[in-house]
Amino acid sequence: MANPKKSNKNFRYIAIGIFAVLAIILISLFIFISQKKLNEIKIGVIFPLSGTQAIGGLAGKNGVFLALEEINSKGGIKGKPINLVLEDSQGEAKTAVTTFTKLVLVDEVSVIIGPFLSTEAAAVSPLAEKYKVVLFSPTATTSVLNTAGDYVFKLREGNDIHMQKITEIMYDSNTKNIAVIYNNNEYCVDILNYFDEYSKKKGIKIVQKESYEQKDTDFRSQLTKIKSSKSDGIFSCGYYQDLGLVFKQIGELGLKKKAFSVTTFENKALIDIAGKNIVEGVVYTTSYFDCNKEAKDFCEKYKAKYGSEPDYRAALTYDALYIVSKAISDSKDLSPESIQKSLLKIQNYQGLTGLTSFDEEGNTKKEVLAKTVKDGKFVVLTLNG
Amino acid sequence: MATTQLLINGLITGAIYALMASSFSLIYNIIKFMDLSPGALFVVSSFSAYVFNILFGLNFFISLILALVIVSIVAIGINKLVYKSLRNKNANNSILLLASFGVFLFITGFILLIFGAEVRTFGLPITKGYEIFGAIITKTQIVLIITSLVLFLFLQFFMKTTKLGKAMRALADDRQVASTLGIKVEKTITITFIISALLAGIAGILVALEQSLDHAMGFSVILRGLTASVVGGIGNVFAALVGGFLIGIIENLGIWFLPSSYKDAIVFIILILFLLFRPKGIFGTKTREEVSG
Repeated sequence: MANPKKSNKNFRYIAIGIFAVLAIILISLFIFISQKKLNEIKIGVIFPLSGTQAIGGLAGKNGVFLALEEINSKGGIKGKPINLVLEDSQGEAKTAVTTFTKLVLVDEVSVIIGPFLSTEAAAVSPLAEKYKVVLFSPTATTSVLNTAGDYVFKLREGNDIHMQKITEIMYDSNTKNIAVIYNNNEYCVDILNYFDEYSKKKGIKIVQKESYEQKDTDFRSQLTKIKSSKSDGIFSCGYYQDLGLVFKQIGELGLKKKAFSVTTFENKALIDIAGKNIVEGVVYTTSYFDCNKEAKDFCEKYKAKYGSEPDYRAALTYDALYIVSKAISDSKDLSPESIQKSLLKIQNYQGLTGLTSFDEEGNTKKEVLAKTVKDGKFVVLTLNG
Repeated sequence: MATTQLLINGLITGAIYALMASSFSLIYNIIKFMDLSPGALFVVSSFSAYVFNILFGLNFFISLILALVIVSIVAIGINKLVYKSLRNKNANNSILLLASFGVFLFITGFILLIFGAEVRTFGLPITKGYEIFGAIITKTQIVLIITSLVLFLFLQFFMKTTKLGKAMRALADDRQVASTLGIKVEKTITITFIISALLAGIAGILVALEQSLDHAMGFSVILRGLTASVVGGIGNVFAALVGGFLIGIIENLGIWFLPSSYKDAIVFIILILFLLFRPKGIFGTKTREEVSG
């Protein structure tokens, strides 16, 4: 009979041997890959690719990869191709933070395009300052990012411009008393701060203000309060899934009031949840983007490649990669410090979403567009019609 | 006018809480542990109904029955694979509670994996509801409230008059005596799980029809369902029904006076007050251990 102790020992030697061989193979593979990758420029991307916000994140992914294809087919940046390291934030601030740390510490990127949502961007921005990595959010609008630091850039206009525009439209349509229902999240709380400010300036009175939490699905009692208030319009802010249910329940309760909303309203899934008739005529503001003008080429290519209509999010992420690669090619090296400096020098960049210039805080001022729903489609709002 | 509307809103949400609370209470009453898996079955049934009705295009009532069959099979599976083996190892109630939480996380995680986190709807046509005393209620909501009440009456009838119902109650009183009297303990436990699963399953389908469905919808009904069963008096199915409607109505009337962000706070303040001052709930009676001890 074999000595059990001895066979145990033998087994241990074999195991150590296998581990050693595996380790050597892995290390050499790693060295091989990392040497190969020295010749490319890595850019991190953090988008919500799964989870409730995946619809937006996937549109953004399509946009950024279309730009990647174009740039790399023209020889990349100074002859080096761009490699996008794509990470999924799942629409959650905490996951966005984890993916950020991974991109910075493991992939060692100097620039990150993202995060997508205001909530995520607000959570990640202090870390971007700490690690001194350029954080370039293509879509977030929250004012938290305005003063988040030197390394945080925002491609979209702030919520202040949106609220200025929507209150102007309310004023013009003779809406004097407004009721508000909003999702109690980073994005909407910021929107509401500006809404308070600009509605006051226009002499619009907020007669009822109701909030709800992200996971809520029953808004009937909030809407009942609004129904019995003396408002002649409703302003709503939230993400598509909760806004969809808000509008559905508005319809069920027979609340016939002028309705206004925010950029996130533009989502086909929202119409599916709420029903076509109820969202008809809802007015909201969104980032400038027009398939009939400067974005014509982009829209055709996008449709050919992905088989669907692009939205403002795809256009923004497309612009984002172009702007970032322009900054990298203007920069003297690949360090975040010099990329940050060359981004600040970008003035009047003509993209799909209008002219982009950054102020010293890394913010832009851009045009916003008022849109509405007509026959179940999102169209640009025209006056008198 | 607004008050009647708020009352009706309360009845609508209350009906769901009541169904969930009965589902929790039934298991607690008969098998004596707090089982959280009905929260997962709530999600399973709504997704099954969605798959059969929307993705496979089957008739709605056939989809409903198939969904309930699936929910029952899952419930039997959970009992056989998880709870039974734990019971055989003489696991105590807290272990079973933790295990049921694990089951809940596993199942909802599995649904997330397959279907993703998108919010889906059955896409029923949205119409303005009927007007009752100035308040508005839709057809789906009427069906929801009536279903909840009918199920409750049916359950009471079943428990009081049928042989199986009597066996379940005997088991609730004393498992050993019941077993000596010739009641098949395991079979009765399985049936209890099936009935509890059907209650949660019907609640899930009703919510999916009335609002929407996603993988995370189970958690809030667990919280509300448990609160309702504590407020009513845990382990008593009639009390669970009353608790459910009570929580629904207080929650909706409460935000008439308070800002709507207090909606959750109202529910949990009630829970804390009950736990502090009347832990046995409205209809609670002393359990055997307390009487003898």
